[in-house]
Amino acid sequence: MPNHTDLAAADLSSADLFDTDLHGDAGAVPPGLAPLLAAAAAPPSAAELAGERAAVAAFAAVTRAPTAIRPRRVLVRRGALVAAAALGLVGISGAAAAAGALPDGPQDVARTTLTKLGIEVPAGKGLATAPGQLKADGAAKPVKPAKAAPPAKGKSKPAEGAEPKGPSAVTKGATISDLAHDDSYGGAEKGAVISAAASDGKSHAGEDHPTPAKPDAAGPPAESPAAAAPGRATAAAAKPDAGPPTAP
Amino acid sequence: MRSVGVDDSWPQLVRRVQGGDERAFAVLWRRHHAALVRYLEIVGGRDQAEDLASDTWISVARALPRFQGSETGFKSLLFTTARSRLIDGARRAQARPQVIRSLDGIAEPSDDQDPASGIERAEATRAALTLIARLPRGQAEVVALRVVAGLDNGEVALIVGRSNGAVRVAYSRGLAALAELVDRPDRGTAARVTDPTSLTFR
Repeated sequence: MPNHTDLAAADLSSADLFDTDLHGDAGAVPPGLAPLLAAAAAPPSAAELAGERAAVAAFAAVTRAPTAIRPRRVLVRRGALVAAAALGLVGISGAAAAAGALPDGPQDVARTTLTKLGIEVPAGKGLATAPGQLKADGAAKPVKPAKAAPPAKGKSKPAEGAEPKGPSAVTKGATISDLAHDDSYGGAEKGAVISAAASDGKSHAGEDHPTPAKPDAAGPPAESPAAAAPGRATAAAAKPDAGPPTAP
Repeated sequence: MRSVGVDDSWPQLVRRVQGGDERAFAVLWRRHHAALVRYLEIVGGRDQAEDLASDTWISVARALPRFQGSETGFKSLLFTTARSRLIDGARRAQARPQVIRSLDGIAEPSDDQDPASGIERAEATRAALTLIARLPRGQAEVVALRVVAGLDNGEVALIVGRSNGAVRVAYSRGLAALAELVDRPDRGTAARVTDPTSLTFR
């Protein structure tokens, strides 16, 4: 290994060492060094440029190479477009399925598929649906979707409290839904009406009960506008399964 | 196609090169190749300078379509790439033993119109490169980039990854050491880059 100690330790503090500044911010050039630096930066000799043809050939090869790559880029772009289109189609179909706007067949397929993903989608219009799956603002007793029988199997147990599957079940669900949205009923009265409809008249909600419910079980009567009607608020409160009274 | 001359503006030249114009590339190459090889000779030795320069040009040609900037910016790209190739070459060379030949070779013959002056000039250039190559590596590299490549302190600092101040000091010390070498040529010699980690300032 060569010894550079002397060179590296050259004292540059003596400003009188430099007499010219050929390179701007480079600092001054020591006297007698300018010719050497000029020789180092001299224009190229013919020998130094002898490799021009080979260099240009290499450049031509490099510039031609990207042409071969272009088809791959085009393929990638096309693939991205197809993927985006497919994604858009799935999104539109999903939205349509969620709105129940698809024809019966596709709607049922979408429902079967999306239910597995935990997304609730209405069934096709021709498909029998367990009443528990129809939500009517809490008027109908909610049933977990897992308990609902897939329509294709047909051997599943009906949901608890549900009527046998068929058009009548759909009609009842729709009726309950209508009742729940009907503003002409108020508070406990609406609960009683819905309860009666859901139980095919078996419910006694809204009727005078032989044993009055305890005041604390009925909740604060003052908060219920229906409390003025004797017995109704009590009956509704005594049978909470009928659903919470809805304020008019 | 219009021929490209040395008087073409830089943006025009770059656009033509980026469009695959081989004659424009030839102009670019003629402007910068000699400085590139000289830099590589000073820092890495004469044996591998031409090969490294070829590798550098290929890399730069690949990067050119994305290049935007001045000619100084192009020089920074060129010498930064060359430096990377130099370090990679040194790494590869570490794996195999090789004999480093001296830079003190005979000057290349020249095809200049005046052969005598051409040879004389080429010999002077060769002698200058040989002398600069004898500096400590950090100083030799800075002097080569400043003098041969014509870059300023800031550009050199970016290429070698050091501060402007460090580059300024290395350049000043390099020139002082060079002056001393001119006066007393028997003092101090520097090895070429055979260790990739040696391209650092001390």
